[in-house]
Amino acid sequence: MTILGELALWIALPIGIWGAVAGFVGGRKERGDLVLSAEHSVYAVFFLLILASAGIITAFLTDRFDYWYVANYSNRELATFYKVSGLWAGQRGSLVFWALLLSLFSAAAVFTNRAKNREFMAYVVGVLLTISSFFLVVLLFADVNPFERLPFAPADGRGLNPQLQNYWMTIHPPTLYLGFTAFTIPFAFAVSALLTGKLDSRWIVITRRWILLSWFFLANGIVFGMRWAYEMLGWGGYWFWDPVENASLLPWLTATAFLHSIQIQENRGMLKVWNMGLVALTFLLTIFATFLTRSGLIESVHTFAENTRIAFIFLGFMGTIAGACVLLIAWRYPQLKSENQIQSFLSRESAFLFNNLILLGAAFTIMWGVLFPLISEGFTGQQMTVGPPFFERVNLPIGLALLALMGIGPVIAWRRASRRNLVKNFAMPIVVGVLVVGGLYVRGVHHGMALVTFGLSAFVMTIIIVEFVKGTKARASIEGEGHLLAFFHLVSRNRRRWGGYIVHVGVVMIFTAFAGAAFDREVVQTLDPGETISIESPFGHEYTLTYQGLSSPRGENLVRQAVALMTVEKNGRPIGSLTAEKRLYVKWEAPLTIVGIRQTLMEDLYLILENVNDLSGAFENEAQAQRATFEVQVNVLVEWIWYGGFIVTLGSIIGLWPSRGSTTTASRPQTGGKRPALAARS
Amino acid sequence: MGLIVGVTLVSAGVILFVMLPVLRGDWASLERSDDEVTEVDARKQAALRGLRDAEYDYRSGKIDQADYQILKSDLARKALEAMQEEAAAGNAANDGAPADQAEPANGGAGDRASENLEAEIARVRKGIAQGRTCSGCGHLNVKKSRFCTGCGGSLDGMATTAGPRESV
Amino acid sequence: MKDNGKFFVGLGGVALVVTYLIWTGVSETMMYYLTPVEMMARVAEDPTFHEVGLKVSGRVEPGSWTRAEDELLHHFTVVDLEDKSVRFPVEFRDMLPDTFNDTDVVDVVVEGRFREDGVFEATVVLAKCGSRYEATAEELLS
Repeated sequence: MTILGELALWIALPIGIWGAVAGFVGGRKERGDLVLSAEHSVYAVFFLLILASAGIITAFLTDRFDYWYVANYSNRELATFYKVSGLWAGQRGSLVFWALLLSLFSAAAVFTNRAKNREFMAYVVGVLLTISSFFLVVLLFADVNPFERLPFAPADGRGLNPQLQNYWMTIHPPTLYLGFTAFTIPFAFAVSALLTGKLDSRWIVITRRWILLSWFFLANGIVFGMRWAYEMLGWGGYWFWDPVENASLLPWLTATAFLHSIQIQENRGMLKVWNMGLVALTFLLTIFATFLTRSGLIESVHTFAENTRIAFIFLGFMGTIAGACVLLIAWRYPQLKSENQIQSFLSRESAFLFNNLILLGAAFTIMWGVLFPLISEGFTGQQMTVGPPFFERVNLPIGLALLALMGIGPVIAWRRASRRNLVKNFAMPIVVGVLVVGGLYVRGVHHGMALVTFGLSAFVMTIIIVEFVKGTKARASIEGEGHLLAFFHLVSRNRRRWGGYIVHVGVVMIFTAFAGAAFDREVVQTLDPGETISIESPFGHEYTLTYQGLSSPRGENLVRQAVALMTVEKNGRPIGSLTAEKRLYVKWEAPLTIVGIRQTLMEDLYLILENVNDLSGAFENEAQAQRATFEVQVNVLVEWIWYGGFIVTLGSIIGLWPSRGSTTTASRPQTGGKRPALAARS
Repeated sequence: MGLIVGVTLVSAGVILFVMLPVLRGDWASLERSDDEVTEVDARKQAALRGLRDAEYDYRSGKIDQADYQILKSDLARKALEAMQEEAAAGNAANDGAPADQAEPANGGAGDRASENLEAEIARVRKGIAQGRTCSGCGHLNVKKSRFCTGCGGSLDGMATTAGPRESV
Repeated sequence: MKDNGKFFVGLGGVALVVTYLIWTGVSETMMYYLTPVEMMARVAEDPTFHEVGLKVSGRVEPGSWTRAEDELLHHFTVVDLEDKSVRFPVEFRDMLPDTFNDTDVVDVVVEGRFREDGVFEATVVLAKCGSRYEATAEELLS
C-alpha cells in the first residue's frame, strides 16, 4: 500500500503536466476533447493523491520506521489518532496534504462546473493542474519526498513532539490548509477570465462563494491556532506575532479586502484591475504562507527544517506567477477600465476603498516585519529583527481605524450619502460609544487605548443593531410582512450583506477581547503544600488558591507526570479546583507544561506550574519534593475571542448557505457531443 | 507480484481514463450554455439589487429623497435596458431554438438572493410607465398621490419624471 | 471628476500614515541580530551598544543554569556556536520555555540588552532543543 502510494506520486506528476498542457492547448485551439481529458486528469490526480496520502497513513499505522518520515514523527506507543495526523505533522507529509486538498477542491470545482461556466473551464483546469504539478515536482525533486527510505529499519521511531499531541493538532492545520488551498479556485477563474478576455463580473459571481469558503476556513484556522496556543503554550497568550502566524494572517487580510472590494465591482463596475491584483496577491500569499512554514527561511517556532533548495524553488514559482499575473493584467488593461467613477467622498464605495487600503496597509506592515531580517541584511549586511512590540505598535492604530470603518461602512449608502442623514444616523451610536467610555472611566477603567477600543466597539455594535432594526422595519413596510418574518427574510434574501454584519459582530467581540488584555494580572510565587497565592481580579474580587500538593499518576505514552492540585476560592467562597502539570514524554528530553484554566465569561483564571524544585523526586511521589513555583494569571475577556470566533463562523455560514435555485442547471450532461457536431457548430 | 499488478492496474486505469476523451473524440463544451446567467442578466440583477438596496437605504434614512430619485431612475433605466436587450436576445434565441425554455431570464442559474426579482421588474416597469402603481399591492393610484389607496403603503420614491442621468 | 482629487489625498494619507507607522515602529523596536562574537566586537568599538536592543543566538553552556530560590530569576551562560571561548552570562526574570535545559545541546536566542556590567539582561528566551528537529539517518541509527 505504501509503495503504491509512492508510485502514485510518480504517476500523478506526468498526468498533472499532461492535464495542464491539455487544458491550455485545448482552450487555445478550442479542442473540447483535450479539455475533457484535462478535466479527467484533475480527477485522476485527486485519486492518485488519495492513494499517496493513504500510503503515508498506512506507513504510520503499521509502524514502518524504515521510512524516514515515519521514523521522525511517530513511535510505537503513539495513539492512533496522532498517527493519522502524522500526515501533516512534518514538512514532507504536509506538502502531500496540501496537494491533496488542492486536488480535492480542483475536483470539486470541475465537478460543480461540469455543465456551466464552460467558457472558463479550459484555462481553470490548466491553472489548477499547473499548481498541483508544481507541488508534485517539489515533493519528488526537492529532498522532501515523504516516502524516502532509510538504509535500515530502526526499532522504534522518535515519536511526535509532545506539543503536537493535542486534539487541536488534528483540527488547526487542516483548517488553515483548507483555507489556503480553496483560494486557488478563485485565482484560477481570475486567470481564466484574463486569458479568455471575458472580463465582466461573471468570474466574480462564479467564485464569490469559493472566496467566502476560503475566508471562512482561514478565519477559523487562525482562531483555532490562537486557542491552541492559549491552551498549550503555557504562558497565557494566544498570539506570538511569529512569522508563520503572521504569514497565515496575510492572505486572510487581503481576502477580507477582496470580499469588500468585489462588491464595488459588482455594484458599480469599478476597481477591476484592483480586484484582479488582489486575487493574485492573496493567492501568492497563501503560497508564501505554505512556503514560510516549510522552508525555514525565517526563524519561527513553527518552522520544521532548513532546506534552501525548496526555498529557491518556491521563490522561483512565486516570482513566475507574480510576473505572469502582472503581464496578463497589463495585456488586458484596456478591457479592465472602470465603468463608473466614485461620485462622492461620502459613499459606501469610498468607505470600502479605505477599508481596502487599510487592510492592505496592515498586510504590508506585517509583511515588512516578517521580511525585515532579510531586508536589513540585504541593504546593510547586518541582520536586524523586529518583534511583537513592532507589530503591536503598528497594528494598534490600523486596527482601530478598521474598527471605526466597520461602523461607518454600513451607514453610508452606495454612491452618495447625504451629510445631514449621516449626522442623524451617527448621533445615537456616537452617544452610546461616549456613554460606554464615560461609564467605564467612572468605574475605574483608565487605560486610554482600551477605552478607545471599547468606545468604538460600542459604536459599531449600536450601528449594526440599528441597521438590523431599520432593515426589518423597512422590509416590513415594503413587503407588508410581520416583523419576525421580515427579519427572517431580510437576512435570508440578502445573506451576504446581513451575514457580513453578523461577522462584524464577531470581529468587534474579538477586538474587545484584545483590549481586555490590557487589564491582565499575574502573580508568581513559590509554595509548599498548604500555602496560598492571592490574586486580585480587575473586576474587584479576589481569588485565593491553596496548594494541595503534587501527585504523580502514570498515563498513556507518558513516562512521568507531576500534577499540582490547587483549590480555588473567590472572595473566600470555595469555587472549585485547578490542576497544572509537568509531563515528561518517552523519547523527549524536554518536559511539557500543562496549564489549568478556569474559564468564565469575563475573565479566565490561568494556572501555570512554572517549576518543581525537585522534579525527579516529584515523579517518585516523594513527600519532601513538593515545593513548586506557580504563576497565576487573570486574563480579562479572553473568552470573547472564542465566542466572537463562533459568531464569525455563524455569519460566514449564513453568507455561504446556497440560495434556492442556484443549482438548477447542474444536472445537464457534461459533454458537448461528439466532435462532428461541435465542429459544425464552431 | 501483487504490487506490480496493482501498480499496472492503477496506471493503466488512470491513463485510460485521462486519454479516453481524446481517443473517443468526446468533446467538452467550451461555450456558455443558453440558460446560464448572461452578462446582460448579471447587469440586470446588479441593477435590481441596487434598486432594492437603495430603497432600504432611503427608508432607513441614509440617502436624501432627491438623491434617491436620481439613483432610482438611473438604476431602473439600467435594469430596463438590460431587460430589453435580454428580450431581444431571447427572441433571437427562441427563433433559432424553439425547444428552449420559454423564459430564459427566469431559468437562470445565477444568484437568486432575492426570490422576487421578477416581481420587482414588474414593479419597476409599471412604476416608470405609469408612475403611481403601489409597490406593495399593485393598486393603481391617481397621479401625485403619496399613499396607496389600496393598502395604505407609502408611494414615495417612485421615479416619474427624472430622466436618464450620466454619472459625472 | 472633482472628488478624485480628494481620493488621491485620502490614498496618499493612508500610505503616509502606514509609512510613518512602519518607520517609527522599526526605529524604536528593532533589534540587531548578532552572534556572541559579533556582539563582543560591536560593544568593544562602540559602548552605546549597551543601550540598544539585541537578539543574540548561541548555545547554553552545560551546567551553567542556576535558578534563584523562591524567585523567578534565572542565570545561565551562553557560548558562541563557533568560538567556544566567547561567552557571556544571561539574567532572565520570567518562565523559561520547556525546551530549555543545560544538560543537552540547547541552542538559544536571547533578546534584551547587554548591560555595562557584562550581564545580558534578557526579556525573551527562545530555546531550540536538538531533539525537536528532524534527525538524519545517522542520528536515527544511534
